[in-house]
Amino acid sequence: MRRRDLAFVTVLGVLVLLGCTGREEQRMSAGAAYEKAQETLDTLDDPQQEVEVFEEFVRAYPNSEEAIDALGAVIYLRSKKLDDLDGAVSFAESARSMASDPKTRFEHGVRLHEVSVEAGNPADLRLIADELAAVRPLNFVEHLAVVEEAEKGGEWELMLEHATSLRRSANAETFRADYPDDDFSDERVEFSVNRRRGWASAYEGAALIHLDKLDEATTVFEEAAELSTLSNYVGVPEFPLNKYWGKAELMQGRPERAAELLAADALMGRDEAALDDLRAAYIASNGSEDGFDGYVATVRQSIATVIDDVTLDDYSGSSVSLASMAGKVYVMAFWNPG
Amino acid sequence: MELPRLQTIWEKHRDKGFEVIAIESNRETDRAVEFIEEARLGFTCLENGEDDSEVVEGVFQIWGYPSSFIVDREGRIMYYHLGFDEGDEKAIEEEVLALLEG
Repeated sequence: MRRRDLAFVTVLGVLVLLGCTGREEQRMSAGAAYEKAQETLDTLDDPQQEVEVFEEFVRAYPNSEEAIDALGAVIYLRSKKLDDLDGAVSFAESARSMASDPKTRFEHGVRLHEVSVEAGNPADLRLIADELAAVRPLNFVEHLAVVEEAEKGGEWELMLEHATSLRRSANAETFRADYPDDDFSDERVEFSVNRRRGWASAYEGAALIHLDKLDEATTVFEEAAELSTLSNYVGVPEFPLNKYWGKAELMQGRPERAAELLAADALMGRDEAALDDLRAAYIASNGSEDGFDGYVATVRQSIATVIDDVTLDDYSGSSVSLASMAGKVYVMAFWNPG
Repeated sequence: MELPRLQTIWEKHRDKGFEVIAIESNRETDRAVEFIEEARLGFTCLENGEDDSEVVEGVFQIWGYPSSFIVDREGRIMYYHLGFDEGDEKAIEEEVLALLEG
């Protein structure tokens, strides 16, 4: 075939392909196609076949919201079920290059970074973040994703930059902008903004610790502690502020203060890293690990919440009050059949 | 699933003063009763108040399931457990025993 004919055939082929793709998309939206893919998946129990369904979907609808979910599934199946971490990385790379929508490219990039860190060859997270930032400012969740990825990859400067942006941008205006359809009360917004600041400060301080800027980290923690002390019913902070603050105090030679900060996360929250730091603080104060178990028991008692008395009905209609449990050891299990 | 494992622990240690209280958060009464009967749960099973914000979320600030507290003889919550993986029942049993003996 002559070159000119070949060119003609190629052009024709592209037009036919475009036409088909166009018709395909008209016939079926990404959402409907993804539902159909899910139906196919229900009939499969071979991870290799499942991967193929998800990958085909990503290729067919590279810019859809569902493609983000599908890429996550491909990464999970390839890395955890098929022992093919390299394959997971390379599909994440090609999914990102297939996508032209900035938001989708960013989300694919975050997943690519996560799996590439696991494979020991981190993707360029700064490039992934900057590319979206060139189109529009990152929102809270996106900054947070960059911060968490930077932490996984040990990219402390980048983690610090985004954690600082996160803290500075945590205000009522940005929070409301993230939920345009909701009409939250001022009180609710203040609560959520404080929570966002708490998360941001915890990560900002953690990055500063890694950069050996302990004084600056302490300042960040102190300012955040004034905002509020958000913790759950048993006293475990909702975000890892005290945990990192305790670490900074430990590194600055103040083990008693470190222990106070670490106790709830370590003992009630069951955070292994916090428990290790609590043990290190104990050793720094006492010279050895001797007596640590007894110390833990004492501290646990001192921080334990005394349970409120409530009364609820059982399934025969009798009221039961927690006061009737006095003197007993009991497990209270919250559940639902769903 | 956590509750059948708690049933086993309860049967072993109830004579030492150990109890289990399960609180179903969604008031899915029919499904809950079906589950309780099938799993032959013998310990106290309660239903959340009519408004979920009353007790489970409102008082105890529980947002994830399953969650559990282990409460000592003085009414203090000594352990808090979120989620349940196979094998977690061993940790729960050890903690219960430590409190029963302590």
